[in-house]
Amino acid sequence: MDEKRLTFEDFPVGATMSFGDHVVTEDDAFAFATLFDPQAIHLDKDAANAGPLDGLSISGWHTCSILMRMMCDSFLLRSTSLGSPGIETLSWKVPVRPGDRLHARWTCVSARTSEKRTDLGICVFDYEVFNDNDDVVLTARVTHFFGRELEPS
Amino acid sequence: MMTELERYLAGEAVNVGETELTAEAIIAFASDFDPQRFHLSESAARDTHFGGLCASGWHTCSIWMRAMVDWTKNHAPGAYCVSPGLKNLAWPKPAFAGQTLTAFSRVKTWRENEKRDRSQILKTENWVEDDEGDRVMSFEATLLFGP
Repeated sequence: MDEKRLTFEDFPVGATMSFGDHVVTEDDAFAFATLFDPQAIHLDKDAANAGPLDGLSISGWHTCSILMRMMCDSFLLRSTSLGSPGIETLSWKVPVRPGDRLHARWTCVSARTSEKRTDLGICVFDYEVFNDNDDVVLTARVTHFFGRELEPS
Repeated sequence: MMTELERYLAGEAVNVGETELTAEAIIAFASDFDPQRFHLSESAARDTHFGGLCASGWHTCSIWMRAMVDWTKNHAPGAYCVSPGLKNLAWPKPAFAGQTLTAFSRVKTWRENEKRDRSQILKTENWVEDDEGDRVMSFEATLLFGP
């Protein structure tokens, strides 16, 4: 039996959820940067110390990807998610360092039904990602499409 | 004659590189970061609203980054390319397995970065096109660019 999936109706304005617990290992940081962002600031400690982020940091896209994984594991995979058309704003506030432990929170700031598709709901979530000092390292305002409870997708 | 870097800073849209989007790469990225079924197998993806195996949106962003980093190494050796943030990130069309993705960047405005010598702060528009020339990803970003 399938567990009931989270639908648009489960994400009203003001809803919030803390989620995720992810340690960014040096090996993972190095592997991601090698493949997708091979800059010295992510790969070479001496160069990074002289660079604009004052030491080794992980790729900003790696932080986004880790957030995505934490979203999948905490709620997205057990929801009626129909993807995202995009992200209004995204900020990398503080560099994430190899070894950092990350967690996150979303708050729903807008929820409406689609005028064109009665089976679709459109939510806007404000995301924050934190390091182990509870510094906000990333913020993002993301639009989500969710299927509605009335007509399961 | 202007160098490619000079043309970029003058506002010309620059093709920063092409990448083959293989099914293996899509599945590897998604297994680590975005294990939704339309990113994990061709057969599972066929039954979804996307209709075929397609890349995680973050994979497409990361492919753009790799192209931009390689272009920067070729045309502005020693420069880094970092960003405090972006806006209007959109995935208007799925990036399907088997496509060749082409990454672009265009400078809208730029100024000198007073905090670091020989460095610039660029306001840019960036995007990735598929084989049909359709945009599969786009965003605007501030880039801190320089040695």
